Amino acid sequence: MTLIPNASELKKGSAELMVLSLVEARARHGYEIAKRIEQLSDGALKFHAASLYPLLYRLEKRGWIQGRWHEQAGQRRRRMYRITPDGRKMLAAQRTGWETFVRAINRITRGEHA
Amino acid sequence: MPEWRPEIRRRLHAAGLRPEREAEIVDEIAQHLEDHYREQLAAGATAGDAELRAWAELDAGDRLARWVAHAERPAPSPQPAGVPPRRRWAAALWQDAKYVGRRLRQRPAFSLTAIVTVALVTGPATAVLGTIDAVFFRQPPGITQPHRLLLVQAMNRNAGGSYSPFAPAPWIIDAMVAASPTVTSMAGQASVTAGMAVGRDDGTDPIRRSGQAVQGNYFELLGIRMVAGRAIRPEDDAPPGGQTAVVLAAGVASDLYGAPESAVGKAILLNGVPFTVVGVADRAFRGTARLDDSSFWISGAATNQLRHLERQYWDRGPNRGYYLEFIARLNGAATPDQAVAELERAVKLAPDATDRTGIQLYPGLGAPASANPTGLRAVRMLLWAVGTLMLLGIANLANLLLSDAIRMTRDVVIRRALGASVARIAQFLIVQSLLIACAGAALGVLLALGLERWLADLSVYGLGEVRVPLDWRVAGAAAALTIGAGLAFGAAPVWWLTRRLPAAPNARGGAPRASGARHALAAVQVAVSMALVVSALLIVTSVRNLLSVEKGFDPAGVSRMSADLRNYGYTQPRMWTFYRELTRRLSEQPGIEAVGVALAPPLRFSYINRLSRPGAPADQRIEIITNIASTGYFDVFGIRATRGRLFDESASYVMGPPSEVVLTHSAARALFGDDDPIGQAVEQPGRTPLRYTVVGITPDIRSGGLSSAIEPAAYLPFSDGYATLGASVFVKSGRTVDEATRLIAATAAGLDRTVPLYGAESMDALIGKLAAEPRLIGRVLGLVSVIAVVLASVGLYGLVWQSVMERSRELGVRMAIGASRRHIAWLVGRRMLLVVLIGLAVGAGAAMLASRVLTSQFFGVSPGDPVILAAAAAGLAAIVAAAIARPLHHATTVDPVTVLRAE
Repeated sequence: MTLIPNASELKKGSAELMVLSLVEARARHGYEIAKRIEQLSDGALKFHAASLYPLLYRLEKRGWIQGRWHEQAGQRRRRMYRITPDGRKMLAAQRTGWETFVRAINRITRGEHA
Repeated sequence: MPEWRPEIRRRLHAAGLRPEREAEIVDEIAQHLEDHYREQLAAGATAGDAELRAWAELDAGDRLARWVAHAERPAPSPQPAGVPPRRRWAAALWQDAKYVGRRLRQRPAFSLTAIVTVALVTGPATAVLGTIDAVFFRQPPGITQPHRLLLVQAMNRNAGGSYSPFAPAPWIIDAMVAASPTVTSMAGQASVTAGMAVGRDDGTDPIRRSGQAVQGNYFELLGIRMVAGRAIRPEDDAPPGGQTAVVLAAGVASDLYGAPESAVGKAILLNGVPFTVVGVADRAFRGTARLDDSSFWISGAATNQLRHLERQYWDRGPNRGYYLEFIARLNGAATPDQAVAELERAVKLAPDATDRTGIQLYPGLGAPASANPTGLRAVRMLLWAVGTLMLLGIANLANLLLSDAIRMTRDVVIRRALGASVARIAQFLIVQSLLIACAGAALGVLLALGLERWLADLSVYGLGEVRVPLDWRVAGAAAALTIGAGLAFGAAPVWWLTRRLPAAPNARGGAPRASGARHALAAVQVAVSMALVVSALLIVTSVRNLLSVEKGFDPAGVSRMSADLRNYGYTQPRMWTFYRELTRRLSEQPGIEAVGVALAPPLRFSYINRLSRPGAPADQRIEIITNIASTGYFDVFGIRATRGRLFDESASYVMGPPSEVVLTHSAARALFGDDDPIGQAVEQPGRTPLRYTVVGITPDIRSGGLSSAIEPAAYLPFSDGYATLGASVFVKSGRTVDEATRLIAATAAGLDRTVPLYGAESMDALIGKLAAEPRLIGRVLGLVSVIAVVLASVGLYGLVWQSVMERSRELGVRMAIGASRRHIAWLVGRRMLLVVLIGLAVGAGAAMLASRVLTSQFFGVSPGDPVILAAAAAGLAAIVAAAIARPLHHATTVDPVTVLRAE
C-alpha cells in the first residue's frame, strides 16, 4: 500500500517528480531546472539554490539522475543532469501514484463542494 | 562581478565534505548565483540589488550545509524485490506503530482518556486474576509436589447436612492406604496452640503460637527439608504420651536461639511443659494450608502432655487416634476425585463406621476449586465486578475509537483510493487499539498494585490476607487479557470502517456517522451504570441498617481478651478462681468502668440449652441460647433488668451448679406466656436435671449476629462447671483496645505469668467483622459504580462533542436563519435524552434482576425500593447532565459566521 505522505513528504515527493520530469527528455543544468519550474508553474513554485542542489545530489546518490561537467568552447563550464534508466522507472511509478492521488483528492474536493 | 566562492565555501564548511567534492559543489552553486546575478542585471536591477537577490538564493544560516550534508549521505539501499513477505509485513507494522504514536501524541486528550479507560479495566482485572491465583492455585511453599497432595477428613454425616469429623486410629489409616491404590501414604495433622517460652526464669513472658501435632511420617510424606537436626519420627508419636520432641520453624528458631543450628538439643517450654528441640524445618515451610503460619511441630501423642491431660485420658481406645485431618499423597496418575472415592470406601473399614461415615475434602493443596465454596463465592463476586467493568470499558473504548475512526474517514478513503487493502486498514486500526491497550495495561499494573491492599479484605470469606503476587503467570494472564481487550474494542472501528465504508469516496463527501451504533453503546453504558449504582445503594443501605440495628447492648468502649487455661493444666476450680480473681483485680484499676467474665460476647452466643417449666413434657422444652456471665458482664454492656434483678455479687461466681437464671423477654414469653416469670422455676433436663429460679428479665438481645432474628436467650451465672468452656474477660473503659488489653494482660500476669492471653479485640471491631461481607461487596460495587459512572460520563461527553462537531455547519445555518439557543440545545440534546432515559429504564430492570443474586446480603431494604431507584436515576441524570453541559453550551454559542467561513 502507498501511504499518504504528510505535508513535508508531499513537497519532497513532488519536487523529485518535477526534477525527474524536467530531465527526462534532455539534460539540463541546475539553474535551468530552477528557471523551468518557475516558468511552467507561472511563478507559483520557486526553488532556491539552497534546496535545489541538495535535491539534485540526493537524486544522483540514489542513481536516478546523473550529473556531468560539460565544457564547450567560449562558454562556461556547466554540470548537466540527465535521467538514468532507474530514474525512468521511478518517474513512471511516481507519475502513476501522483495521478491517482490527485484524482482522489479531486474527487473528494469536488464532492465536498457539490 | 562579486566573488561568490569564498562565501559559499564558508557556508558549506559545516557539511564536512571531501575537498574535491566541496570544490565541485562550490563551482556549481557559484555558477548558479552568477547566472542569477546576470539575469537580474539584464532585467534592470542595480548591481547591489542583483547581488543581494543572488545571495538570497542560499537562504540564511547553515541550511545549505545541513541539506547538502544530508543529500551526500550514502543512499539507503533500495529494498530488493525479493524481500520476504514477513519482513515487509514487519516493516508495515512498524510504520503503522510510528504513525499511531504520532497520532496519539497529537491528540493528548483522546489518548489519555483511552489509556486511562484501559487502565481502569485492566488494573482491577489483573488484581482479581492475582487473587484467584492466590486463592485457588498457589500452593504452600516448601512442600515437594504439593499438587499431588490432598487434605482430607474422616467424618460422619449428620441429618441436617453438617458433619462431625472424627480421628481414626493409626491402624485404620494404614488399612485405608492399603485399600486405596491411588493413595501412596497418609499422615495425620492437628492444629495446636501453645504458649512458647524459652525458660521459666529467663524473664520472658510466653507467647501464644500456633503449631501442628503431626504423625511420625508427616515430614517424609511432604518432603520437607530440615535445616538442622531431624524431623518428628514415628517413635515420637508412640502412644500413649509420645516423646516431648519439637521441630521449630526456621524463623522462630533464629529468633529464640540466634541460629537454627543452635536451637537443636535445647529445651523449650510449651504450655509450661519442657520439650526438646530435635530439629528445625526449612524456612519456606509454614504448614500445609496457604495461610498456615506454624511455629512448631510435635507428635500427636505428645499433645496429651502439651494439654496437661490427666493420664487416665491419654489412651483414646482401639479405634481413635489424635488426628482430625490427614494429608494423602496420590500416585502418579490418580485424580483427586478417584482418591476421594477410594478413601470414602476405605474409611468404612473403621469398626464403628456406619453408612454415614465418609471423607471430606479440604480446599488447598491439590483439591479442585469446587472444594473451596467460600472462595468461589468471593471470586464469583469479584469476577462479576470485573466482568461488568470490562463490558463498560470495552463499550466506552469502542465508542471512543469509533468517533476517532469517523474522524479518520477521509484519510481512510484516500488510502483506499490509493489501493490500500481492507486488511491493511484493519491492521492499522488494530495496531492503534493494541498500542492503547498496552499503554493502558502498563498503567493498570500500577493500579493493580494499589488494589492489592484493598483485596486483602477478602479475609471476611475466611480466605485470610490475600497477597496478590504479580508474577509471570498473573502478568501473562493480564497480557492476554489486555490483548483480548484491545482486539475487542478495536473491532468496532474495524467493522465500521471496513464494512460500512465504500471503496470509493462517498459521492457527497459526507461520511456516514455510525451514530446509531454509538448511541446504542452509550445507552448500554448508562444502563450498566444505573444497575451498578442501584445495587451499590441497596448494599450501602443494608450495611447502614445492619450497623444501626437495635442490638440490645451498648458496645462502646468495650474490649475483650481470652486465656487458654485448660491447656495449661488448670482444673475447673482453679480456672474459676483465676477469672474471679482477675476480674476483682481489674475492677480496682483506675479508669475501668466495669469488668465481667462470660463465655461469649453478645452477637456470638453459641451455647444452646433446652429449658422448660418443671415437669413439662419433652416436646415443650424450648431451645434457649445461653450465655454464662458474671454480674459485671451486664454492667460492661449496659444491659439492665426490666423486671426483677440481675445476679448479685454472691450469686455471680458460684462453685457447683448455679441456682439462678436471667431470661430475655422472648425467652420469658416462650416459657411462661403471659404469666409472671419472676420467682418461677425452670428445668434443664439431663441425667441429673438442673433447676434454676428466674430472678430477672432483660431486654432482647441479638445473640447470633447482626442480621439474625431475635431468639429466646438466657444467662446463667459463671460457675466452675462452665469455666472450662473457655471464657473471655470484658472491660469497659475510656482506654483504647491496646491500653485495655495491655492492662488485662498485666493483671493476668500478676496471677500466673506462664499463661499467654490472646484474642484482644474491641467490641466495635467484632461488630465490624459481622458486617464485613456486605461491607466488602458494598465497597467493590461502590468502586465499580464510580468507575462506571465516570466512563459513561466521559462516553456521553465525547458523543455530544462529536455530534456537535459533525453538525456544526447545520447548527450554524440554523442559527443564521434565526433558531433560538433553546431550540439548538433541544436539537442536539433530545437524542441524548432518549439515550439516557432508555439507559436508566433498562438499568433499573437489570438492577432488579441482579438483586436476586445479592438478596442474602440485603437487610432492611427491598430490591425494588422506589426511593433508591429514584435517587440513583436522579443522581445519574444529574452527573450525565453535568457531563454534557459543556458541549451543549458550545453548540448554542456557535458563531454562525465563523462556522460557515471555516466550512
